[in-house]
Amino acid sequence: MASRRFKTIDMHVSFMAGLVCGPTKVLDLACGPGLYASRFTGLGYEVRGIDFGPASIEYGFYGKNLSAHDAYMKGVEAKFKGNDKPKMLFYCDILVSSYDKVVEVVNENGITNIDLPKYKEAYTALPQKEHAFPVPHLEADGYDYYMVTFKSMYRNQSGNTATNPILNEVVRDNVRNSVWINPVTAASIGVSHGENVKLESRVGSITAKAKVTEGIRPDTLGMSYHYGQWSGGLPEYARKGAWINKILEQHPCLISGMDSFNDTKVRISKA
Amino acid sequence: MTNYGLVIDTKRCMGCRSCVASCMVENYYQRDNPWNYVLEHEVGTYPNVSRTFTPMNCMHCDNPACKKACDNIGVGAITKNESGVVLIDYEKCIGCRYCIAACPYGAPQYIDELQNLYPEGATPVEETADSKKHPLHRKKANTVEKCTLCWHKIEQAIDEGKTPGSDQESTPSCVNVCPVRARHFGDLDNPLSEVSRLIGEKRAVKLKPEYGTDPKIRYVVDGGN
Repeated sequence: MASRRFKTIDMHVSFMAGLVCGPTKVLDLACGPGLYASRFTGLGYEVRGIDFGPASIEYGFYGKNLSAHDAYMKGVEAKFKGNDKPKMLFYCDILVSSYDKVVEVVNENGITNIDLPKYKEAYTALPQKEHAFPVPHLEADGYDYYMVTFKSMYRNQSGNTATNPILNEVVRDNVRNSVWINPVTAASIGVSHGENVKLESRVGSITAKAKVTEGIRPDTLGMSYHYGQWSGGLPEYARKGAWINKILEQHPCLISGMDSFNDTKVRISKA
Repeated sequence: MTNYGLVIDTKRCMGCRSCVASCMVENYYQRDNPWNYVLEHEVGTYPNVSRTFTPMNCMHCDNPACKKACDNIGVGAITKNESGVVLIDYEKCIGCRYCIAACPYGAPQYIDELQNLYPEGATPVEETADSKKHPLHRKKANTVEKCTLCWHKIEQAIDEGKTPGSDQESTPSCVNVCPVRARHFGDLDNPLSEVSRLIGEKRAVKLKPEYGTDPKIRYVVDGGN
């Protein structure tokens, strides 16, 4: 029994106790630290545990008398140091219990608007194909260009500098910010540097200035953050420009929940 | 005699504009009149592309064209001082803008009228009385201004007996803030200074040498001299 969850152990013990009827003596072969043996003892059985692991024997004999340092550090070097020794936990217990916790909360509170199969996919202990290939953009038929986003050094890598008059003056793109377009793409839609282009995705559309540059792939458009924020607390001059979030689709990471800002597909046309 | 100048390494510059922003803060920036700005230049076609950034400010030429233009019409507002820094006297300037026409580097900037940075009104910094500012920061409408190589800092260091460039207080703010150390300040006449070493080792060049202005801001560029 490799499970380390006490709830599961309790379940197993009560299940096995239901099977045995009559004898009251139990022999626990390879008892380990005695998690099962102690529970059977609690149910009134006479238990004998056998194990040859030195750590198990020590735990079984000394138990709580070990100091914290000995309990956690004893044998660590022998177990992990050197070649051919495991260095990390491959099996992620935490993910399995996370999914159980979600199911528990859903059942307890009667939550219905939640996609449990999706959660199970996200919390599988081992990576699956869905994790390796998140491809929501492949479903966007008719949207030919990838939209990638970035932040500018001269905006302090921050989205919240639109009220700073010095930074607004350093590079004057706060009134009309630009979208990076390869010259090949620009020629195909008949747009030259500085003209307005319209970007459309499955969720919205914006208009921005074209910056024709060789520094981007022909199948990709690039646009920075910082501009066009609509927060009511900002003065009028800080809300100018095109707001990139308006056309970004929500593609959160299955594991962390962090959104991906670089896999929206868009259409581009002359505005 | 000293002859202060800069060496700017365009191979290191990454275009963050920290020097531009720090200059604006240090020198009571007036709208539309950057003393320091960055030119972007793109070379090649995708996928073999490179982009260079060239920070531009006053070159503090040994043979300044702006001074010649100013002297020739008898105004004499532009001077080159004993440390080799070219400065404009706002009291003498008549706003004719001949220096802007003469300068091959686009350094001088004309103040049409004094403006506030925020549309809401003047900030406490902008409300600082002229008497509390260095004369080079007492800006006036209908005059021309330009980079002073942070002369107010150099002057103070000389008065205190320090070597300009030896610490942050005596170094131009654009040099202080550069995160990739692309900008270096020092004495070009001293053969042992850092700038002299860089000019020799990295073959820093003058921009537009054909104009004969002999600029003192040297650039480390791909290819070298």
